[in-house]
Amino acid sequence: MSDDPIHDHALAEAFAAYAADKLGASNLGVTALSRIHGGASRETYSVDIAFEGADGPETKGLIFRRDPPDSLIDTERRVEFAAIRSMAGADLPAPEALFLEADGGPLGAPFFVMGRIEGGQAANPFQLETLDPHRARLGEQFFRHLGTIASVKAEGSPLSKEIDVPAPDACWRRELDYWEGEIDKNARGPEPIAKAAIRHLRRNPPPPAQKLAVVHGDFRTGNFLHDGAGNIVAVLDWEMAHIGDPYEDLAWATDALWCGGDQERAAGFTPWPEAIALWQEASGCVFDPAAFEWWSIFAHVKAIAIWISSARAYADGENDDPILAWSGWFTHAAHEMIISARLAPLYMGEA
Amino acid sequence: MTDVPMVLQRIGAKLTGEVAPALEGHYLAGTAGMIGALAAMGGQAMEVAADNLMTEIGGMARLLEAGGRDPGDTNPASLKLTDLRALRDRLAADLIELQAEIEVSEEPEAKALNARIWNFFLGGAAARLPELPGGSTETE
Repeated sequence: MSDDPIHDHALAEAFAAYAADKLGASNLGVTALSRIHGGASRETYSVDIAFEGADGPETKGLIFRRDPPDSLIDTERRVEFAAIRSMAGADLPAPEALFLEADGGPLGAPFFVMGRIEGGQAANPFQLETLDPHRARLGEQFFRHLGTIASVKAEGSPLSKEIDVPAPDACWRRELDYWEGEIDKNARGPEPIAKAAIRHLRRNPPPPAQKLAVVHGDFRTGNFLHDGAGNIVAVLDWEMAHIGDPYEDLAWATDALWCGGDQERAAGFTPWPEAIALWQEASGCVFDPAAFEWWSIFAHVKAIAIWISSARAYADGENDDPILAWSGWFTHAAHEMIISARLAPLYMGEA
Repeated sequence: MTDVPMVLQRIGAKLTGEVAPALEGHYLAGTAGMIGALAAMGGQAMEVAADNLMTEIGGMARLLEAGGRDPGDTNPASLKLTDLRALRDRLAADLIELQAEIEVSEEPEAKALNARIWNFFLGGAAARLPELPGGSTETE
């Protein structure tokens, strides 16, 4: 392996010119640039820059995320950028959103630039035991941050200026229609389990959203950074953010796939009553088990839709990141199992 | 060497156990680990794929018949996985239609058939779920 800290000199040069212009800095150079594995929906790069600041030489760590030819999730980077900006002022460790280039240009594809969170590491949802002995402490923050996102006023937020704001009684249908559409568009064969679950959800709709909230859309283990000492230092991956029912995030975050096989603890972190209490306190929402049940099954359907889209992108050769093949295979099969295990007893009990 | 599942599993072990650790620090380390996991899963899947598909084909044909539908010719054109999948997919599309029709019925026979379909889903999902190779899983 090369010891060169700059893995792509042409990209580093282009980024240096761009950053110098945006920061108004002189003598700006890139001293390190490396691609980070992960984030199949974007190519993610870590960059160190050095420049002449007002008070002398300065260095800064940045992250930029550039669109690949095909993304895992078909959304606009301006939505992700606006979602992060919507968290300004909230008690939430989100990266600093710096610059957005929605039309590509300087780096050949749309991208945006964030401040780098130093010292953070991602958690693997399939190896939650590696978080011990900090699991309970991380769980407390996990559910508090989840609630904090739901507490941010959606109306008037930067995100609300970029996307449609649904009526409270339309949140569930909008999400279900969208993700069923993704399944129909991308499935490489019939999906009897997903379709049966979708019909089940349509026959048993949830109550209207108790409030309109900013929904992160992919808040779960794997999408936050922690410092190894029990502190969450950043909530990442905002590309699926939208405005909707706050239960959507709670259900997604506690989906059985992310709990490391530990369903006694919400998201594999915190005993359920405690997790719900933390979320209620931070969000200002009241927990309704029936509404949560709907959104929890919906989370499985949404997941299957994402895995199907991943498989399609991989099969069509639009994106050759093997994570897409893995998502389209293992996680798809896992969610078919999860849905069947939840709904089969219900219908078998009716017979 | 015709023991393809064994070869794939060994390739997977090599990639996850040796190649990926040697690339530590480079983003391709994660890619190598993922490819290794996929190869190992492929080895397992190859061993059981035809058997699983034939089981699904038989199960769906019986459910369609129980619902009064003709499943058509359920003999695959060959035992190639592409032919088995094509037949399975045709039957699965018919099963979706059948279930959508009967699941809204209050008739006991319809409820019993819907229960059988869900039981079939459960069994099929369990059979399709790959065993994860140790220590090489991640999502993003």
